[in-house]
Amino acid sequence: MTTESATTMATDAVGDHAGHPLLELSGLHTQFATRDGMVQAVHGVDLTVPAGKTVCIVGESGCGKSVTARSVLGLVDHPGHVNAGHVWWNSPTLGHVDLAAMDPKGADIRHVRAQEIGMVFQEPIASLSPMYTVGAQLGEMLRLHQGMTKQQARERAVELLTRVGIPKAHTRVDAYPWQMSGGMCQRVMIAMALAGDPTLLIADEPTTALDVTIQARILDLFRELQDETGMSVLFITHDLGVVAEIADEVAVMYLGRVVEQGTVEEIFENPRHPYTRALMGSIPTLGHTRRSAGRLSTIRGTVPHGAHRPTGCSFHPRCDVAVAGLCEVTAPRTLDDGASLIECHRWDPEALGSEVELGLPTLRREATPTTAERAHAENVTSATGNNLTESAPLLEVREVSMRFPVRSGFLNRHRADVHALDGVSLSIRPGETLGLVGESGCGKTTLGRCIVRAEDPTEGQILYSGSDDAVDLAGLHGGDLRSHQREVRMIFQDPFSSLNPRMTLGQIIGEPLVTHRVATGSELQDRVAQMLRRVGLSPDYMDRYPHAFSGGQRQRVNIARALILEPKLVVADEAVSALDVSVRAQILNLLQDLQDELDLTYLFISHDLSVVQSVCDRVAVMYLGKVVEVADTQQVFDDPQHPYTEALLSAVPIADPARRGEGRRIRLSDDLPDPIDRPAGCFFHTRCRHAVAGLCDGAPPALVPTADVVDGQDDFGRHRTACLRHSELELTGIAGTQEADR
Amino acid sequence: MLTFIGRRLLYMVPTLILISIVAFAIIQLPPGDYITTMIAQMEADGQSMDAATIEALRDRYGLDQPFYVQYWTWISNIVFHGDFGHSFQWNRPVGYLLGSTLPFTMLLTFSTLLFTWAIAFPIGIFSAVKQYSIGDYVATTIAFLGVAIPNFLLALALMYIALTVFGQPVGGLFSDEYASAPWSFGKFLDLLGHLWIPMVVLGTAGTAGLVRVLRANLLDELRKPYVVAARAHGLTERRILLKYPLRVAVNPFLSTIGWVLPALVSGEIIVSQVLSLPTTGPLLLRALRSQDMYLAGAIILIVSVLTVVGTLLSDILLARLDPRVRLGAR
Amino acid sequence: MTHHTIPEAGNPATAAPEALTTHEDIDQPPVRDKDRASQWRLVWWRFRSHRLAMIGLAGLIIFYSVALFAPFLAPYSSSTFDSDYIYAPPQQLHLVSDGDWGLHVYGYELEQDPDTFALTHTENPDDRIDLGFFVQGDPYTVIGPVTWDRHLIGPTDAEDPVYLLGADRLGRDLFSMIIHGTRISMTIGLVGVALAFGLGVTLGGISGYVGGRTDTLIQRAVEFFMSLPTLPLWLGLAAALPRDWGTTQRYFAITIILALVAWTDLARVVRGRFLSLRTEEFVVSARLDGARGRRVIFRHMLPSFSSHLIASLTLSIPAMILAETSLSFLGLGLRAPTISWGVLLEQAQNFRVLQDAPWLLLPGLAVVLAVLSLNFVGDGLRDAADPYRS
Repeated sequence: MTTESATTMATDAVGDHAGHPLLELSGLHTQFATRDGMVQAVHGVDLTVPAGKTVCIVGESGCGKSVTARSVLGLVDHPGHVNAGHVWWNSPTLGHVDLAAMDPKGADIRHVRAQEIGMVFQEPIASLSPMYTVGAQLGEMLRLHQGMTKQQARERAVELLTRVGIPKAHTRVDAYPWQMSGGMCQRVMIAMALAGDPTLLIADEPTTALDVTIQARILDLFRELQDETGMSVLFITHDLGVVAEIADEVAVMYLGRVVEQGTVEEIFENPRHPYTRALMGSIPTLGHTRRSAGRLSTIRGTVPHGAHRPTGCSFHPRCDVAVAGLCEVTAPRTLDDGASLIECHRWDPEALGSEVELGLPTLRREATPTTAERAHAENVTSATGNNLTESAPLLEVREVSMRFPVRSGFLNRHRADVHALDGVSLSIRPGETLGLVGESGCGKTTLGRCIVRAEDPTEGQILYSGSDDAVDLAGLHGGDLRSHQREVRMIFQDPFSSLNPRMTLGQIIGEPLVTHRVATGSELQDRVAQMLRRVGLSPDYMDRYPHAFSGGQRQRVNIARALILEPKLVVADEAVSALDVSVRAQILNLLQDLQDELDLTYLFISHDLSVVQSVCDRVAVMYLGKVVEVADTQQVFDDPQHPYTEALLSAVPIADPARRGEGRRIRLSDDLPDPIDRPAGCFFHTRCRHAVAGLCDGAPPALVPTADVVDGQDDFGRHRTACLRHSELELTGIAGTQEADR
Repeated sequence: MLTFIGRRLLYMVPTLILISIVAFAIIQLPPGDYITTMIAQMEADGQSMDAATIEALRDRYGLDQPFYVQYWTWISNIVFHGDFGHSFQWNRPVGYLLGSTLPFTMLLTFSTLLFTWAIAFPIGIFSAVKQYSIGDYVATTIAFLGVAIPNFLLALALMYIALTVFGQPVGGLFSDEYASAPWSFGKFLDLLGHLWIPMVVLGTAGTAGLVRVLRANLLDELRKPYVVAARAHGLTERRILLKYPLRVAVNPFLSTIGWVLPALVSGEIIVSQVLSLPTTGPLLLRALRSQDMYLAGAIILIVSVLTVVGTLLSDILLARLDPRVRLGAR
Repeated sequence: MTHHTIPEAGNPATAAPEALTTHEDIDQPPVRDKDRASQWRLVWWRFRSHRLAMIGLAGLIIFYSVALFAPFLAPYSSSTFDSDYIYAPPQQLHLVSDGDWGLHVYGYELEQDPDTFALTHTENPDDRIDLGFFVQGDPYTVIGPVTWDRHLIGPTDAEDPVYLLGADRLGRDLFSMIIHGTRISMTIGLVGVALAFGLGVTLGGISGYVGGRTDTLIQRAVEFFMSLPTLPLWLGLAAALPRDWGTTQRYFAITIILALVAWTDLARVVRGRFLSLRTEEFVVSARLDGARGRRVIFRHMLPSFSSHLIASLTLSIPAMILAETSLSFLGLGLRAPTISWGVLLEQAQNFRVLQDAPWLLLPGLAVVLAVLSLNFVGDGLRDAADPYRS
């Protein structure tokens, strides 16, 4: 199961009882009573966590990762319960015990929870009571579990908060959770988990709700703490990049079972299970731009609901290499070669017989493109780029600002403004995809909504040059606005709330045709059916309601609705952020195909830099309502000219354990400045490592072209940045890190 | 916090002015006035009144002046002189009548409020924690019934039971021997012995409502992630329940003072009528029936003001207890 | 089952561009009823699984049927009385006596106290009164000029006294009276709620949709109304009604008074929904789809909370019924000759009377049952109102 060295380490780290690993799940089953009957969320999980190691459980949503984690500590909520299996825990005080056999409300399990196994959750702010200060909540545990006095507990709380990297801990200790950012709250949660000096920390998607910059810092914290204390970590995540960053061992889960398990190098370099391979293939990785990477590979379909578990191997309906007559009939057994573990018939000589060849062709991880390939890719880009440069921009955003008033005080007077957008200027050329990135709250979504006029900008112009002369969308009202809104459409982020649940797909997709009086009757039906086919849905779905569909399918409906008026510009606001990786790849591919087919121009808003890199021609980086850098994708990622872009890039976890970064980390502090009371000068100077007092806090920098000019690039495509020091700084992008690694 | 209270107090002023206008408007609404009623009564008794006397009476009470003049006379006397006017029917100052009944009304209302909480709190918690248990079903059923039974019906039923089972009529707040006796310990005990019936009758609906509110709130809170997190930190179930979710669930509970108080005051009117208690309720009813406008107006005004003040108190209490309200969570 | 989930297209990575027009990547789930079920069907399915709500619904159907067919269901008309039987106790129903089958009751033996003239009634087993179905009795109007004289149940001889639930102060049959009272008591809530609905939806809708200053103004009004203690307000207004108003006038005046107090809650519900829906993504996208104000409201927003609205409406009827009962009980609401449960209960105000004739409290039982039914249905509706919440 574990490697030889891991076992030895385990023995060294704790007084190992009879050679047992720290935590061992065997045959764990957890089921939930639902309307559709009993659902087996965890279906026989075997998993070992050696002492001092980080084990990651990875898989798509609905695979039972979180339930497995919660089952360990008996925290599965009603109506779920552990119905079979063992959770063997090598307790320093209780000996070798089965946590699953303990009364989930009893004293023993409480002792384990308080002193031996810490746990951190996905939603940090909601995981803390809003009624007490963080100091009070942390102190309570210290008083109860460590027998401290109130004074001692407070001092220790400040100590712990400092240790998890909370600045000014002695004042923060008196803050309420809702007065702190998500990242800060997650640090508090970690401090609480550490309060009892646990030997194991279970982290259930601890960074999923956080920005990538904050995520990087939290992952750093996990590593530091582990180095200091030697504790083990069981880390649940859906993000392979995160896995590659921190895991020692990886368990891949699918529909309640661990289908493959091994060291992080094994899994990433030589994934054997078809599901693991498919997962790896469907994530865009940094370093692969749009033109070089081509289409993403996908896994068809979605994870089925636990109530409809397929027979045989539960992955077979989505598997490209399923063996007919075998995979859908018998469940694969667990194959354990000592170093790794797999459940797949293709690797089982006994099951396979002689007709089919054993194993899968070795998957060579696609290396980062060679210089030649890159040059080729760039040629392609500039070839298309040449086309692009000739045409005038389709959309030009000029000095757009958006302010929301804040009222407070005695008579609810207008006190200040939240500056969501502050003089943003951008251009999009016909046929291109412009990426818009930045941390949450930077104004990227607001900008997208202003462009489609879901919001009315406070000032500025949004010049749109469709078929006629340029019109200012910001100044249009009523019918004029509506007729232009036909050509500028939006795809929303949330596939669930953006579709009216009370209308059928036909009504939803046909709505724009009705309101714009484009088509009625059978013509409308035909066009909707055609559109459905275009986005990969069956026209039979027309009379069904959105609740019948999964997130990915709903997002296709959203796309169909946006495209049915044959628009020119589509604003995709985090259009794939809510989707699982395999489905995300399907939708990204669909968007690209439709762009080629229908000559669309995209404004692609996303917080995910790897996705942006794989689909966008150009990228604009936003910070606190301002564009701080804009350039061709390649330039932004290889040669960033703004320290914020550099920091953002370095925070992105890279799905390659071999490149686990040394020295490339630039960490930003967790706290974004208040958008009501913004810093003077360059807004970024409070978090910037290159900031110079007297310069950066003086006059605000303008967005200016940089010195480097790429051949054939007109003024429009110039690399621009809003950094006063950009000409003197040597900033590293993704390419730079690759060089550094070699 | 001070800003908060200051703002709330400021908001109260226009509300109170409006309430006083509405109260006065209501008592002015019926066609005719007390004199008309008086004439009608005298005629029914076979007597008559000459026009000069009528005119003199009208003049004396200012009844022939326009609405706003009457209102101003009325309200300025109350605000500046504490003079609530004169009751035609009782031929006494309204202030005197209020003084003899209002303390009992307030005693009844507040003891009922305490009773309601004392009962609703444990039942609500039990019901939420032991969801779908037999006890929960019993509590929920009683809560449903409590909301569905009109106060006066419950009062009548209790009276009937007291009469047939215990063989003694209930009603009033004192036994005959204490009714006009000076205050003594014995009288106090006698009061307590009488107080429980109106308390139970009045409290039932409120208790039932509160049990439902508390149960629903607590169930919501128990599903929040911080409860799981607290459990993961090794806290005992009792502590998890009593410290974290309850603190949040109690907030709406506190804000119910806002509606429990007016409901109690309203309920008191009808229950007191049935149980013939010496409170403001029956006084208001008689005053309304006979168009004794200053008395009725004063009672409506005072009850409304009490309600508004009660709401204010509950808001302040809420802000005191909930940091999100106090510090203005975004 | 499995063949449904096997995709038609091959490996999508190698799929040709024209694969776009096939069902790429999409598994075809089997068609379930649920997929094609509209909002109301989903609400109904959810409601159906709520046992108490179904009991309440059955109760409601019974109550409103009684209200609809009251003259036919009641043995006597609302004006039939017999002063010989003032406060006559309920008769017991018999199925068989002396080996003779058939539904029957015993007649009363009357005794008058020579001093107090009080009547006492005792059942006389020798005086058998047969009951029958569809018997001839007091004539009543069915619709317009059409009259009928059949009653579902009653004495075979219309002259015989039958008092299944006893008699009241005037010697009327309480059972018939309760049935006749159902009409007023059950409809006053409906009419009152309809009025409150009009006020609440209009003002709440304006408040939520227009926002800004209008919203603030309406909200202040709502807060003001909510800060008033309701009963004194009702009492004051009810007392102000002219005494010479007829029954119909009084009925509508009372409903208006009830609605005046009840609209605030509805206005708040509507406003809250409007506000939260206004920023809901599907509403924003409907606007971006080119839908104009009216279409956004009536096609996208209103259907989204109509089920919540119906739940709130249902839950506000009981308060109206209780209020009418209370007002009438105090003599300030409806008055005889109007018959409502509250008017009937007014007779029970004196507890000396109650001691002799406790059955006068029975209309109260009808009130409790009606209110319970409405509350059950309302709660069930509220739980089922959003079928898309898992």
